[in-house]
Amino acid sequence: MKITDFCLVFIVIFFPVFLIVGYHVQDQRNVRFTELKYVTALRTAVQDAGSMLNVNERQEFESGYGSAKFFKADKEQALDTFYHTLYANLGIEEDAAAQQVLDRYIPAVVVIDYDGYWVYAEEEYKGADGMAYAKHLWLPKKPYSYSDRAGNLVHFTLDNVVEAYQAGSGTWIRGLQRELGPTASIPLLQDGVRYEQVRRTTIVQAIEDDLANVINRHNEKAVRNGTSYVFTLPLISQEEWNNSIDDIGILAFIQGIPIGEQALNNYALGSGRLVKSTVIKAGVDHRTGIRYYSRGDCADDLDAAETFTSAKEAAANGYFEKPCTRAFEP
Amino acid sequence: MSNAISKFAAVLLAVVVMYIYPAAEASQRQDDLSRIVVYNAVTQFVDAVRNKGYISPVMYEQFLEEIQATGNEFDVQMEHLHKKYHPEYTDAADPGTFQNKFSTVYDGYYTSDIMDHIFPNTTVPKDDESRVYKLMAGDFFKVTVKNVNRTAGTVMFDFVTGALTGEAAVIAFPYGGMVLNEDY
Repeated sequence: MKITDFCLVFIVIFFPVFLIVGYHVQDQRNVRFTELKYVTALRTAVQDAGSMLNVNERQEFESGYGSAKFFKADKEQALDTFYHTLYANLGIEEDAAAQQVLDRYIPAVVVIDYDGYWVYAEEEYKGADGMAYAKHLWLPKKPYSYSDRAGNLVHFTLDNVVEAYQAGSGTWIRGLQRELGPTASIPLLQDGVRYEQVRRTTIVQAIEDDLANVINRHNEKAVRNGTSYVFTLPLISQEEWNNSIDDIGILAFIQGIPIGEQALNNYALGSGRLVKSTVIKAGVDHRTGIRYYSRGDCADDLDAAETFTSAKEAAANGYFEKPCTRAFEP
Repeated sequence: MSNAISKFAAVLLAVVVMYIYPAAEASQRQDDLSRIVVYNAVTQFVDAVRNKGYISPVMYEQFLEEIQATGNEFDVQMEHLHKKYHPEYTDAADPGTFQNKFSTVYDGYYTSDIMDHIFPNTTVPKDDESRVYKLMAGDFFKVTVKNVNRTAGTVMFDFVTGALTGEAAVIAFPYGGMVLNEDY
């Protein structure tokens, strides 16, 4: 055979291989990109929902001196925002059919409130015409509750506030654990370190169990609706749980959307928190006479005359930012 | 004679295998990279608007520069939904008919409205306060980008397979979210 014939043989054998491998790579790339798109949409939606959680209408539900973590989570508004952003990012704001299809792939949304949590999941109910319907609904709020062998009942919150039922005396007590501890008859409340551990585990366990349950039930309906995907609770690392139960937050799952040869299985966590803004002191530097503002850490040599809540406001009133070089001085 | 045919076939195959196929693959990769660049630029621009609460001419120009660096032409659609609380009256002219409730409505402002604001028909400089398009916390902002030209990948794909993809956008990306801050 001549050299050109060898060439032909080589091409005939290898070209299809290249072509097939090329298609596979292309497929993988599409999968990755679609996944990226969905994950971005989910993250942004949850972030927006989280920031909506602490919008509040009444003064007594506001976090204050008592607790920095106390909020009345506005779950409906958060959910509206979640869906609005999610639909916008997938380009289906006006497509009710596509929205319904997407709903099938969202087995659960959890809102972590100050003293309990809500699960938003698909539930069956009987309509006015006697037919069975299924729709995403809010399930009743559940407390972070713990009970010991003696029959005492403890309801945790996201911070030190606790509500407990003392089985011995048959009374309810409510307050901060560190204040109730010395007088309470419940052993758990007396030990601060153990209390904290049990509190965290209880909260995580409660949410995790409930979610596993809801997602499992979603399976049943999914099969009837023609989705051949086994929904399971994705593995959420301990660290992420610890972060998420520090503040009120929202947790959403998107699972089972078939892309390429795999299915998407993802979750996102978002939380709402108001951070106390630092007070900005402004005054005249007594050496130079120039007007400066500072965040309080090196305001000693200023004759503080005014305080502001933001640097912008201070600058608008004619103050310069004071270069704070204290940290570098010996 | 058979020699000439085999030579001709060999040359033809050599051209296909050594030039056209690699070129098609390379242009596909270029499209992939463009897609990632566009994705990054769009998320960055939208997140900047969401976190800052305004659109300035410089922000918009930088965004355009970034996506146009891919060598493609894009159609950029912006959408700003302003959240509004609307008191409910049965007769708006008569204050006595207030229903003691309100509804939430969204006012839509689109690309042309926003462009008219940040690129007005006057000679005010770019950093002028009046050329900043302001949004409010709670509003929604969304950008949709899609290519209008035929990308290198499409051209090569059509050439190799003999298909006619037409005007379908290869690089399309919608991204948006709620405005979280008002930093102006």
